[in-house]
Amino acid sequence: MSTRGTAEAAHAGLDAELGIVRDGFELDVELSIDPGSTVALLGPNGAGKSTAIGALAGLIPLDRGHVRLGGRLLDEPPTGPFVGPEERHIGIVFQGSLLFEHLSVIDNVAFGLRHRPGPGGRWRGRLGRRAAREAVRSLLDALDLVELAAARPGELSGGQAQRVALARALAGEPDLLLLDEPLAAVDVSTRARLRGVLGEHLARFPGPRLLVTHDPGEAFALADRLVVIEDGRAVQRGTPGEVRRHPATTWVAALTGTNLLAGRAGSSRVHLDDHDLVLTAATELDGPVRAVIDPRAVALHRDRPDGSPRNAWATVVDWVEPLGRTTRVRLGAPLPLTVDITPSSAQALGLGPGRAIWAAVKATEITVERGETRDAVERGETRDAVERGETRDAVERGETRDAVERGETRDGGATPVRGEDPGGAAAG
Amino acid sequence: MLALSIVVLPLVGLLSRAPLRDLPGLLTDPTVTAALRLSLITSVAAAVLSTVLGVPLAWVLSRVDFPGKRLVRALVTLPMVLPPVVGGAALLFALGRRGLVGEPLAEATGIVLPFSIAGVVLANTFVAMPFLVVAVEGALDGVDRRVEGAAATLGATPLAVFGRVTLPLIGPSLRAGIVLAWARALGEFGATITFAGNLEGRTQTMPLAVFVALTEDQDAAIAISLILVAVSLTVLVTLRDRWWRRA
Repeated sequence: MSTRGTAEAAHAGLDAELGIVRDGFELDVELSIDPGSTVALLGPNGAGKSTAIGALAGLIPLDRGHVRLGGRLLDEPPTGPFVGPEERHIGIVFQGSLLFEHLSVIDNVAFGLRHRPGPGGRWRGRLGRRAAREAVRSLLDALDLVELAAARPGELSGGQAQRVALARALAGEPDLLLLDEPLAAVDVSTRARLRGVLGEHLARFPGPRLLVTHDPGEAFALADRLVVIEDGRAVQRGTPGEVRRHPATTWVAALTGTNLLAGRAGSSRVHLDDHDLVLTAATELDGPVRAVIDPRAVALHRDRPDGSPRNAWATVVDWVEPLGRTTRVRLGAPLPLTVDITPSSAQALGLGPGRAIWAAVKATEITVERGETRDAVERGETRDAVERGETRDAVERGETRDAVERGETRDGGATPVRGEDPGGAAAG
Repeated sequence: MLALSIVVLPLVGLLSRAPLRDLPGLLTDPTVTAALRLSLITSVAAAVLSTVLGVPLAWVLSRVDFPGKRLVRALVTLPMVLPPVVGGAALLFALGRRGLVGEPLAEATGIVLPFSIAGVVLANTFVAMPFLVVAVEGALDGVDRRVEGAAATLGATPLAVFGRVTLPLIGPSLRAGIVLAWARALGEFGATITFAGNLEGRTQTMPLAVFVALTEDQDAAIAISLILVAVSLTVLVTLRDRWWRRA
């Protein structure tokens, strides 16, 4: 919770309860963002993120709930007002930029100013083309776009297009800044730099900011708080640190690299569901438990390790993915685990798919908590179903995670531009 | 090569029979100039009318869901398949002096459409508008609706979104549709002669003049045909370079 006065925050920030039923899908998420703070709405594709954006933007009317922004009530069915998208003052950086292909960069950025109602009403006293262009010069300068002012969106790289999209969203000094997968269409080499630019401008934006993403790296780097949604519902809220340390669902765990395992504890022994392995933890519990293993806590060895680790087993490398300063390794049977090691150790061990290897985890590195993983519990399944269904669920989501990281999507529609050439994606 | 010859060969035939010596005289014949003027006026008017009426219709077909939409879409394109003579007859039964709508219209306002310039424009529009609607509707279907949504969130009203974003995005298709509609109107024969008649100087357009001349004075027919070819070719060449290539 923010230390800011809550009355003031409720007045100036975003306060939304998004209830939408569409084609058998149900979205039910509460969002509250104080001015000057960034919340990330994190979830897999198909979780309802696009619907949430549409509801906030005014492109999809709510079925129930409300949207209140800066003290203005924007939507509250069935009796309240519905304010259309053109009256909401929400600046949005859309996935894939969605720039106007027929307008130059500067006219794209100035578009909002030209359509904002003037002092004399919707039509009178509005800014003309030249005045609007003049008004956005400093913004172009701040985003390093001055030299591109006359260019067409089709000529821009993915990163440049997103900077233009950010400038366009900021130009109207909106009451809420909303970023929808801002880095998804940007190639990896410029992603880090653009993330820096985004962070800088997010920090400078005085109002509430919402980042919508399926990429935990983005969320952790840019957000003060996370709201994790799955299947249209918030399954976890907290700071990035809290979510990383205590992932509530297998999807969050997999995405953050954290290993979340379901099992049944008997004293310090944890019998894992569906995995032919018994772990030894430092905690003594009985009954259904969740075991959390930090990917950095798993050691890999060429041969059976000597010494203290209580948990050591022979396994095989499923895949290896370099992530810059760390290398992520996915282990195969008997226990699929995500492991982060340094690139130099990965090289020293000669890791690659199919490599036989020993994995070891100290008992003290395994966090055991009572209870099932929350995604199973929230669906109201019975205990038996949880015990049977939970691990199957984990496996399915583990697969999804792989797909997400490789840039593929489950529903195909949400991030169509990811796999394409960034310049081509910007060109549309 | 074969395809090209099918298109070009008749033109060559036309040119080979061209009475070059008498051409100036034939072209300044009052019947011919009147027909040329009438054709240009009515075809442009029909293209404008098709655009004014056809763009909103295309928008509705592309963006609004309503019961019976498939039937409406089929009806809109019907004139493309229907023999124009049938269209002209249909227009006559609907808007003729004794027609379903024509009779009350004539009684109330004194406006009689058949056998008038307005009748020519109407017959041309009936035949030409579907080409524009089809072109524009297809283009509207291809516009990314999310871009329109983006414009809305930037403060643009629905009308401003259409004018400032949608229209420019479909510009090339819209222009192509207008040219197609115009070309179709220029060459229109069957519906025009049925609905508007063949009154020299009033409703006799170029194609009608060609038809009449063929039975009376072949040289005149060839001369008028050459004008049609020249006008069409000039417009198409200019437009292709100016509009389509840039887009």
